Amino acid sequence: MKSDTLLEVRKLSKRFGGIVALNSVDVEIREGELVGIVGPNGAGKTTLINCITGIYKPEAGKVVFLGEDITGKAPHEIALRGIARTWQKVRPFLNMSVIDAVTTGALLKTNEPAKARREAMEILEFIGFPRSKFETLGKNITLIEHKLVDLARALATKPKLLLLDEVVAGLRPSEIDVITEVVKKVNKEMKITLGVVEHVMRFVMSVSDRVIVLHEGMLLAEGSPSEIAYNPSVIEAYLGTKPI
Amino acid sequence: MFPSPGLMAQSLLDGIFLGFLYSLMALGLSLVFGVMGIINFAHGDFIMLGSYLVWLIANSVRTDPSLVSIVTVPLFFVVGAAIYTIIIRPVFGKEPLIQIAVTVGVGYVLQNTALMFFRAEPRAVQSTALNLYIGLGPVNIHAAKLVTALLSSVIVIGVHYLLTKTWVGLTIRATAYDREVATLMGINVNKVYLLVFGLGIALTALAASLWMTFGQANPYIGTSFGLLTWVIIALGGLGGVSGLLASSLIVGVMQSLTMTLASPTISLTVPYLVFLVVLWFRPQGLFGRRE
Amino acid sequence: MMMNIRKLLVSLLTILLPMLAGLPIPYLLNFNQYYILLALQSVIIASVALAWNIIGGYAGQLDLASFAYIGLGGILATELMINYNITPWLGMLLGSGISAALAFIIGYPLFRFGIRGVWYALSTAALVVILHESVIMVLGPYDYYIPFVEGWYYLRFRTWDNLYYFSLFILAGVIFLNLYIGRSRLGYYLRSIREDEVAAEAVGIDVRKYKLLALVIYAAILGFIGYIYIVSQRTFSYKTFSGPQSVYIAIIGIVGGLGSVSGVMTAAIFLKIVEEYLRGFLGGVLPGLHLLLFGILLIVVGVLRPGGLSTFIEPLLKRTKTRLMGGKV
Repeated sequence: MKSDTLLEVRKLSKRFGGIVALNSVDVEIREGELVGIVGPNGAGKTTLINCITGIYKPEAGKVVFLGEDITGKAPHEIALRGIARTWQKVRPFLNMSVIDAVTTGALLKTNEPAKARREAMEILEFIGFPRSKFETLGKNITLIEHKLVDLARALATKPKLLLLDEVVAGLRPSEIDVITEVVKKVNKEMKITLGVVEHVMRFVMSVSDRVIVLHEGMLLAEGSPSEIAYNPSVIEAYLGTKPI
Repeated sequence: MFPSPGLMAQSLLDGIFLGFLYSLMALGLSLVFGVMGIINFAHGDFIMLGSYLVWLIANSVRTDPSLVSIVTVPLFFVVGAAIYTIIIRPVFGKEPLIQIAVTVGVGYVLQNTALMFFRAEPRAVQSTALNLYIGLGPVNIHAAKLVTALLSSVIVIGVHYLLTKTWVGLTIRATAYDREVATLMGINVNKVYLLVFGLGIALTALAASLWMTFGQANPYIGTSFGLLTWVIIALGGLGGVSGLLASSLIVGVMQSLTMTLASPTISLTVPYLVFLVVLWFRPQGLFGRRE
Repeated sequence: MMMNIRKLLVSLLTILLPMLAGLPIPYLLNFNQYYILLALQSVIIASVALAWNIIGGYAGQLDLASFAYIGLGGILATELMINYNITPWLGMLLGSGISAALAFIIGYPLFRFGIRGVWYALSTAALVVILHESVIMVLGPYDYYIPFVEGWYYLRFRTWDNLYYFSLFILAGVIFLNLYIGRSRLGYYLRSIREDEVAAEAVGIDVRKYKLLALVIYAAILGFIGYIYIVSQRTFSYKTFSGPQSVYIAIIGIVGGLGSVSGVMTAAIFLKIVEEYLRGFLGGVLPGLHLLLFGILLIVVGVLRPGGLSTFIEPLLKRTKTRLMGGKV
């Protein structure tokens, strides 16, 4: 293992009944990188995140984070070790204020609510969440705001690795631009390693240093965004030109 | 003192009869939970109130309790549909605690309605044509219980048939499987829910009529039947009619045998203990589907 | 610095205010024993509902077993007093301990296996029935007046005044616990668990551990209150293990507003007044009417205003508090 490897996924397999969602997948994420993980629907992207973060227990294979085998550990233990995530379908705390939701995340590394609250404010400001809405309840904010709160809540746990699950799904182009800037800023200025799972190609191509393509539960290709864009097997997987 | 084999056989038989009735009692609950994912805490209290209603009608017009269902079943269907529209539908998508709480509220209202109008007195129907015993070797078969068991099983299997073999059933199952997809397929989900909830409540009226051919109404059978039917669902899962029947029979026999071997108090407690133990040790496997 | 002292004073006042407001009540009621007993019962119910607020309001678990813990703690303290002349001061602590232990024994496997939502509610409802029946089996269907003894050693008196004052201290304690938990890490964690367990786990919260902690704290408070509850009911009975009463506590917690101390307290007192009013007027004709109405109230709140009374009270309190603290917070 190279010294700057943060996360290493080795021969990971996950089955749901008869369906193989992940078939012996190898992925490596290095310190400071912004890695895009793409693939058509059902490629196993979300399953991969769920296996890494402990939501699912894989049948075979290993997840190694900072040299430690974390396969099959509970989600909260994995979060404690420094992997945070966001959700494809946002999971907001509807009856808590925005600032309280983010404070909850910050309480992972401190047990002083006042300190956690200050940190939560800094993070919300950093990602450009409107100050006037800090005290608004989760049930009264818009989708893009939910996405930002989800992100802020995850960032507040001070992760070493942050996995974003289809963070731009359902957003308008102008909103995608906002998220694009935030994601870049998190990677460059907060120095947090990012794994961005995405269905929308345009977004991934514009932010990623390196792109991994999954297809039907297997690793299909890996390379820089431009390499991937012209890779024939990727085009085939996406456009489905394979003869039936 | 160990009871005689004859007594054991009698107890076993009564347990089986009771078990079939339980399957009918649990049917509506399982339907509502399976299709709508709604947790109806008031289910047992509907059976309780239905039993009082049966007593009231059967005694005042001097008819057999089983015939009263001709009136109470449609009535309960309407009540169920109304409760769905006014209470259940508005809480879809709210916090789970609130969703459960409103049906707890409905149960509380039913329970206290019964206490207010019928006091805490137990009531039984005097004149039932089925109140006779058929001797069969060491056991006596209570005609009312036999008929109840037969009718219950016919209805449970009939509803199962309705769900699996008919167009309406297909619509209901499609809705249960995926609400959004069902909507896209042009199914009026709201109508299906209304129908299912109404049916679920109507079935309690039917179960109550059969119960009253040999049992008695009191305000506490609501809680007792409520928990029992949940125990049955927890044991049998939502898999299908066979699971429902099997777990109902297990609960019925278990209750009857503990009543004979130990005491009525213990027989009341045993299903709950089993319920807790099942929850502890086999939660996923036994429930079939959970959120 | 000045600001902090002021803040501290206001917080202290919030906790002590209900107690201070409650102190002159016997005098205002002209030491009418009937009314003081009612006041005592209201304070106890408010304390119980506030304990429920920790597991139900903060952690969002619909617990329907409050009277299992009250009964168990109460029975222990009362039996110890009657049979061994052990002071209820000690008995209440032991009662608290045994209820907490029961909660741990029940809660550990439940949470370990991810039981939540309706299955949690059902398990707790089953727990009350099991205890109700088990107690009858072990101790028989006992139901009698506790033999009369008097003095602070027994926490029983010829009049209800002293016990009422004592209950105010318990209430203040439970309010303090609620506010303390609400503002601490535990409070944030419990509320996030109520909102979304999966998301809570993903930000590093050990959901099982914190739910269990909430349950044990709740049970410990109830076990402690048990003896006072039994004394205030005047009879010592297996009926203490009551399912409907346990539901009633949840109704107060929900009607008051999940997680809102002021809302829950208001609901407890308001419902007690409604109950007495109806009992006085219609008790002979329609007993149990108040319970029927409470059920309807629960449904109405659930359907129309899941925030409960707190949605009216909290903004009012906030405004007052802001003014007390001297302008903006």
